[in-house]
Amino acid sequence: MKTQEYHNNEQIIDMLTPKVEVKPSADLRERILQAAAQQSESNTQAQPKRSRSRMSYWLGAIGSAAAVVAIAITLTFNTPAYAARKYFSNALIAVQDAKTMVMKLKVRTEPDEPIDYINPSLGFTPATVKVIYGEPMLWCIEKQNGRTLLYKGANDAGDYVYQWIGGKDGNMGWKQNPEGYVNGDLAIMLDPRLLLNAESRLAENRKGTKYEILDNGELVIVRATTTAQGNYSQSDYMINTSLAEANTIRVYSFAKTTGELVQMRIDFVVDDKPITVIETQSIAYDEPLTPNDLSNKDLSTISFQQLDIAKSASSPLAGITADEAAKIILQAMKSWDKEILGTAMAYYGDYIPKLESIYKGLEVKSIGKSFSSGLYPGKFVKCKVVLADGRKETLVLALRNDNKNKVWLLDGGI
Amino acid sequence: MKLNSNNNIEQLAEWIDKWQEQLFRYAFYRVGNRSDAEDVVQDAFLKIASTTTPISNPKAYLFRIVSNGCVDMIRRKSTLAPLEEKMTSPAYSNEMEAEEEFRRIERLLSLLPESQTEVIRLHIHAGLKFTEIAEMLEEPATTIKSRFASGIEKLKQRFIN
Repeated sequence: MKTQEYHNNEQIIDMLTPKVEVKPSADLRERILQAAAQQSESNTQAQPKRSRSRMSYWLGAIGSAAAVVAIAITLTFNTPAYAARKYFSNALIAVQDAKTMVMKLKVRTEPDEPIDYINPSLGFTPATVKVIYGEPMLWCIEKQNGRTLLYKGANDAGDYVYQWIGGKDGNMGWKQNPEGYVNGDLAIMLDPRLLLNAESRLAENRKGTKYEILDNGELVIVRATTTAQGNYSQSDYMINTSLAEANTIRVYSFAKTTGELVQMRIDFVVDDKPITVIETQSIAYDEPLTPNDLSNKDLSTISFQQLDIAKSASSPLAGITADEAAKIILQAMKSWDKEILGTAMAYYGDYIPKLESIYKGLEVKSIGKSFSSGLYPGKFVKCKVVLADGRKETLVLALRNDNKNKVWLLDGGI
Repeated sequence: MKLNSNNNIEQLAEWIDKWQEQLFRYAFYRVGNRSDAEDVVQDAFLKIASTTTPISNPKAYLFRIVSNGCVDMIRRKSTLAPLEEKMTSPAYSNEMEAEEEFRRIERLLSLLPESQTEVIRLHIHAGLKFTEIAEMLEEPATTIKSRFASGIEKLKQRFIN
């Protein structure tokens, strides 16, 4: 006869027994066998490590990826995604307590173009990223002789992210509320930890990303091949214009001794050919850095236009389609209607007079249907115009209305 | 076992077929998600496949490796906690329920010392006999039974008596 104590024991055991049955993935067996076979193969093919100086490794490791592949001891102890996650996680641990970061890199872009604009057909522009991690995070991204973004926290003038362009167009700038400003590619440039974290989660999820791991003795190189995000069913206009909107190969080099990320390279894959668009030249953590060291620019010499001014719902550009907005804006450019263009060109600020000198008096020859592409939150409209001086131009207007009153604003394309 | 022949691959496949479900269930209810549990289990099989020393009890060896792997995984995750976001898109329909079940059991086991929870997990979740656990942990079977009984008794005092 079963005692009360027995029943009580059974009750506790029942409480500790999982009520949901879990089973391994159907392909786990195959994955293990495949990894085991590769492991066995790599053990028999392992070559003696070469002795090279640390510096030459760091300089040569990324630049001569093909050579590295040739001498690589492929680490296929585990599935590459699993192994990759280990390296991303280790690198995160190595730098998660960093107080500052200074990263020097080169990017295929125009110096004055927006900070996240990348174009594989352009030459390299050097850039520097400086960050003081804290609450709030203070930071500066500067393209050499070009666009700079600076956030030094709140002061007597307010709490703004300042942005200005240098070079031929002089000191023209914008300021914007910092709330929600740092995201996407920008966030990743400011904090490689986010990139490592994102890659770590991607490797965990194993969706659409292929990983290869190479070991050259002093560095472990993780090569991730990813596909473009966004919807290109209407148009591929935005493909290869930003990191997220491109098929990429991301190459990360980790120091074997510390686990730290020491170098990063990102290639866009264009017509099946990799083109390097971003390459770090140095990443230094915990260098002495104060808010005044972020930029030596005297902000009082720049005229800053405030970007996030609320637009009126009574504007003729409110509550219409992008196609209609494009027609209104182009017509306004013909006669240079300051009222309409003052709203539509709010992003251009002090640059408007220069635009007037170029576009006033234009004749519209054709306007295409608006389309979406990639991750851009607005619409694009292709149009052909003849300028007042007789020159023919094809413009692709970038229009967005993601503001409170759904007012269409010109965001690019002229 | 060095994987240098077809026989050894077949041997590994046989072990996977025999124990992967048990190991996975144990790992899942230890680390709380599929991805980590599969990584730990995979690691264990690859370790046994690469070892050069003879293994007399592969089942005990695998459970030992998985147990250690789970501890490492949990430690690493807790170090990364401030930066790592939990994935919220389980690939299996019952995954969220299973993760909830994991958290429920974790709350119960958190009331006990590790030496007792380990035995409870191995007996209830992995389905190992006390003699198998004794062999795996290299302890007398009487000690294992006593730890299990103490753990159950403590929870009984808390929740029933």
